[in-house]
Amino acid sequence: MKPIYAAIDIGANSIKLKIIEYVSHKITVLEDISNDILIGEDVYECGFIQHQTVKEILKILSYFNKVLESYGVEKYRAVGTSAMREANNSKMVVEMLKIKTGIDVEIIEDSIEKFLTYKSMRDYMPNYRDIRKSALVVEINSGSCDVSIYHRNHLVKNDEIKLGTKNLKNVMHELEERSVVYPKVFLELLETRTSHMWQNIQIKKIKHFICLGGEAKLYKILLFDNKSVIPKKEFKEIYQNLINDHRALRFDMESRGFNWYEFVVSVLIYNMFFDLTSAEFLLIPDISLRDGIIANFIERDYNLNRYNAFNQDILTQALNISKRYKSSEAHLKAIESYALILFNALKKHFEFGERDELLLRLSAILHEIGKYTRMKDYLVTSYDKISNLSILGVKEEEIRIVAHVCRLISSSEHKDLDFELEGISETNYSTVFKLSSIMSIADALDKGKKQKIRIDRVKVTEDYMSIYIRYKQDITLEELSFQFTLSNFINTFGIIPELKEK
Amino acid sequence: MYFNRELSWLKFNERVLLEANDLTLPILERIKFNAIFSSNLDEFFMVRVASIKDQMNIGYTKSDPSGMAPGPLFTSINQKVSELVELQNKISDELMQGLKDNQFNLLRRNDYTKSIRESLKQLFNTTIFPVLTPMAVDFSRPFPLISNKRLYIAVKLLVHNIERLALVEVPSVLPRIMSIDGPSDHCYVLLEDIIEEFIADLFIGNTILTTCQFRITRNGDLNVIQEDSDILLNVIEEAIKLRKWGEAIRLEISFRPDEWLKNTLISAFHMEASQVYEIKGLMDKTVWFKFKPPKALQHLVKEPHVPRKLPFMSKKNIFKTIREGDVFLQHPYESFDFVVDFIKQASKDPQVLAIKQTLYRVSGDSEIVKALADAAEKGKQVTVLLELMARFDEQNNINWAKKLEQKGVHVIYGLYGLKTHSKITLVVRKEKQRIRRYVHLGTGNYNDQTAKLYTDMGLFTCKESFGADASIFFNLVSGFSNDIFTHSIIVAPYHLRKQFYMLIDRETAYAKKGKPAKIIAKMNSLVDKEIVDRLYEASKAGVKIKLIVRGICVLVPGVEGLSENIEVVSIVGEFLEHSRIFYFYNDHHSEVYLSSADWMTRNLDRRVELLFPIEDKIIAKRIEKILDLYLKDNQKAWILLPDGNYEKKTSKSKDALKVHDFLKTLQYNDNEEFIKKL
Repeated sequence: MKPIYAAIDIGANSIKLKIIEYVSHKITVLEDISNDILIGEDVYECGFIQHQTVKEILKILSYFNKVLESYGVEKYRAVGTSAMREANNSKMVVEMLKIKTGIDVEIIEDSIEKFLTYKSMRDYMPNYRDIRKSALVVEINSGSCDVSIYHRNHLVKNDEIKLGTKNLKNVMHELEERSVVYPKVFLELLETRTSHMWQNIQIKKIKHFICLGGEAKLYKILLFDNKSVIPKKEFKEIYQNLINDHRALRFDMESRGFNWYEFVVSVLIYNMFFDLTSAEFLLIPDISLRDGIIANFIERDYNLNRYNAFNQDILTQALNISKRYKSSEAHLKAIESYALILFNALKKHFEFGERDELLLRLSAILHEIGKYTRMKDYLVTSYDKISNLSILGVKEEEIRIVAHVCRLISSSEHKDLDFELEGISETNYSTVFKLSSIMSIADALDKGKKQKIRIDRVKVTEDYMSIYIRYKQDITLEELSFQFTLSNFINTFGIIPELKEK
Repeated sequence: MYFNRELSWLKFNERVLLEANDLTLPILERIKFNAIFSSNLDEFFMVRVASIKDQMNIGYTKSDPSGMAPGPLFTSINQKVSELVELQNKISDELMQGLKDNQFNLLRRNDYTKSIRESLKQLFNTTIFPVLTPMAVDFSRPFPLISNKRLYIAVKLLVHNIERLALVEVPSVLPRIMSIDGPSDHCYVLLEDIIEEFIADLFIGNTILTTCQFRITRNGDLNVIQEDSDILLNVIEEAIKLRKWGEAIRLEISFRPDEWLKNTLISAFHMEASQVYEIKGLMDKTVWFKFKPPKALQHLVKEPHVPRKLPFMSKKNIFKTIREGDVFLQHPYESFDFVVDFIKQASKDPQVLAIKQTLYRVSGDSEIVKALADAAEKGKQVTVLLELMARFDEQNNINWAKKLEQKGVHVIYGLYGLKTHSKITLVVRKEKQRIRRYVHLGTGNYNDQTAKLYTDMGLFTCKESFGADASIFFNLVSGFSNDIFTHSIIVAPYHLRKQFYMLIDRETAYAKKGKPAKIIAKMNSLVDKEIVDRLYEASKAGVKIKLIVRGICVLVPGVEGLSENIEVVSIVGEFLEHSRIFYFYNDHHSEVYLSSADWMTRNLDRRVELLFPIEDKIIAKRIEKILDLYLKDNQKAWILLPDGNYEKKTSKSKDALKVHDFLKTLQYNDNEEFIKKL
């Protein structure tokens, strides 16, 4: 196995390549190239990437391709982010890049981008273990602000607020025309937009405060001698200058070519969240999406436990959502456990995708959230609610798969070939059917929500899936429910499930 | 307080010319120095004088740091060049005599006997006449375009009792120095003399009143607006064609020519009388570069220097040698073959994935370039940064660029508006499941021919920080990265100037604290005013500064209260001094750097240059010893005086030391032994 990995990030303002070598659990950076290109400007102005810019991208990727070849890199992932996501012609551009450079660019969603970026914290923050216990991560981008909370080793919350440097700089500009103390006025606006989160943050007495985003990295270089750990006092000095008499600071920032309003917006947002924590330092780590992509490779090839540990963050987010909707934790756990046993038995005989196990577990955790608002046809309500969820690390289509899996737990659509699964490509239909068939049986086995059944083992043969169970209470309800699931399962897998007592 | 850079350069060229007076050298070696002087002067006129002329043409009157405005400077240059040409004429006479004394008979027209004339006439008719094209100038035929640096014969004709001008170009397709059977052994004649002798055959029916030889030097600067790399190649090719027709800057004409001819040419080229130089002896002395003496006259040239092969060079695996420790080479004393072999081995080694190299001036039959092409054909990733704008090597480099591209090499042309002058090679090799990067850094070009004549230094290393920096460098110059932050290597125009400031100022600070402080710097030219000012400050603080500057030096040394702690020497000898070495005492923790850059504004601000530290203590020590040797030279060293003149160091005692000879003959096997022997 070649221990050389690479990541290419096609962003709004630059295309970056990182190549690393992983030897003896040590990462050595071989190349870290960044090339400015204003893809975002094209997209935000006219909705698509213009011909000249496409040519530039091609030129850069051709060069990157040569660099990849010069190290014999075989494992790489090239991703397009915000600008590529927004561009109307991104599919065409991706195809052209593939044909002309051989590089397969995958346009990733915001939640995946962030999830991967956070992943790199493990490799680039020495006190990462401690950070996971209690940290607030705030990432300010041009269009939004992303807030995540790590609590007791889990990523427990991730919210996106419409507070971005680019969209708020105009507000700031208008405020300046009305008041000389416009930063203070702006603070009021910030408070109204974020106050709903305050209690949740304050109550956790968060110990670490981490700032991410391109702006943060620039300020770190310009204002804090490129230090990654900035004492609160130093940050507060900048903040106080900004609030009280910012003329010198403004002159300094503008003479370095920075947009003053964007600077004010980001400092005020960071300050507000900083104050909600008990952190002594503001941390600006040198992490990037590229590092996250590479971390993902390394985890998969060398440390599956670590890979799974990150998936645990996804499950924890889901669990917190289901708690919010008062789902029965014991029932969810039972279903998750049944579903996993069946899945592991079936995967030896049937083809499943790399992420199917994770999606199955998410389905188990989330399938009851519809019950909170409506008991009748609650799975349909769950479907609606899940479809609108955003979970860090889970693609939009994957969320849709989970939603459909939950909706189909008690449906007979499996045998109907004429319907459409909304928001899902046809290649993923079979995943939905397979996972929902498993979920139907798992759900049936805890129909009474009393966790009466224990599965000892599952044996899969050419014709049957025999589930060997033990129980102490009456399981008539579960047996009956089980019978209702059979046709879906048989239609999907072509084998007959049967319950066997030991 | 600064010397003028152009006048300083002329003083350097004077030192070159005076080497032709060194009676210890064989006569053809002395003649070669005379030719180098001429060739240098050609370039000086084409670039520097042309640029001053441009300034005058646009009415620029601002003075340079030495206090001279373009007009007075132009006059001073012409005066100085006149003096030098007079000196050269005198030396040329002596050299001609020297040739005769050595049984080398260069026959001029006065020397032709009847029988020689007859045999030359036959040669003229059969070989020369067919390639000549006479060009008459009259009302219906305007003055023809006269090519830069080509030799012509001007003819004064009498046509219908009116004096007319005609021109004949001396063809470059024929050898200019021709061997003939004469009254004694080793008789030679000049092509231009033969043409002049029989020129009447070209103008039958007209009366030839007189003739003279002449040569024009034109503005040779390429004013290329840098374009996208895809079309840069074509743009430069066009500019090279146009260079032939730049403004005439200098007219060289035979000694004591006919006044009518001289004035007609002056007026035809829109020149002033001060731009005309009367030349004794051969008109274009660079012809001697091409002359190869027969075996019988081999004693008239120096025995060619054979660079030393050190024991480590015979080891088969160069990569292993470099892994065992940094490798230092000093050319031309140590063989450049090791550098060529490094590239060759890399091109053949299946473990090598990529080779990246900068090329500035490539030799005509470059083995390095062949190896790069081979590597590309074998499927390795080969990137070559070829500087198309290497002055007067543009066409050569364009040809190489095209050839390399055909072989599959990725040829790049550097950054917009910045010449890439750095000399660096990166070899990426996959070893036991990990990548190792091998780097060669040098002060001289990857040119196996000049490596035998120029003193340069090079370093091979596989240290991680150097490898990473080499990668950063190539990405940067490819134009695909904005990262200018390196670990060990310092890159101009980004951080090099600041680094030099820091290094000089650090010595100043130590001196101010009463600590010993010292700088030794060796370079080709010292021109940058900011650096000079910092050196003055350092000197005032008590830093002992020794500068070994081959060519231009605008710094005024030895001035009380300004530069009394600064000494400047210039070494002009058998080899062209080319290495750039920088030593800083650093409070007992001395630091040694090598560089591709001089302390010139263009190197620090307008070129991509490299400065690299010598981290290996033994190698650093060896370089310190080499610097000491340069400072001890008392045979080929000239001391710069506060009045701008140079005084030759002399010693006839046992202490006499000629650094080039010393290094040629020193016997050693490795760096440690080298150090011990000094």
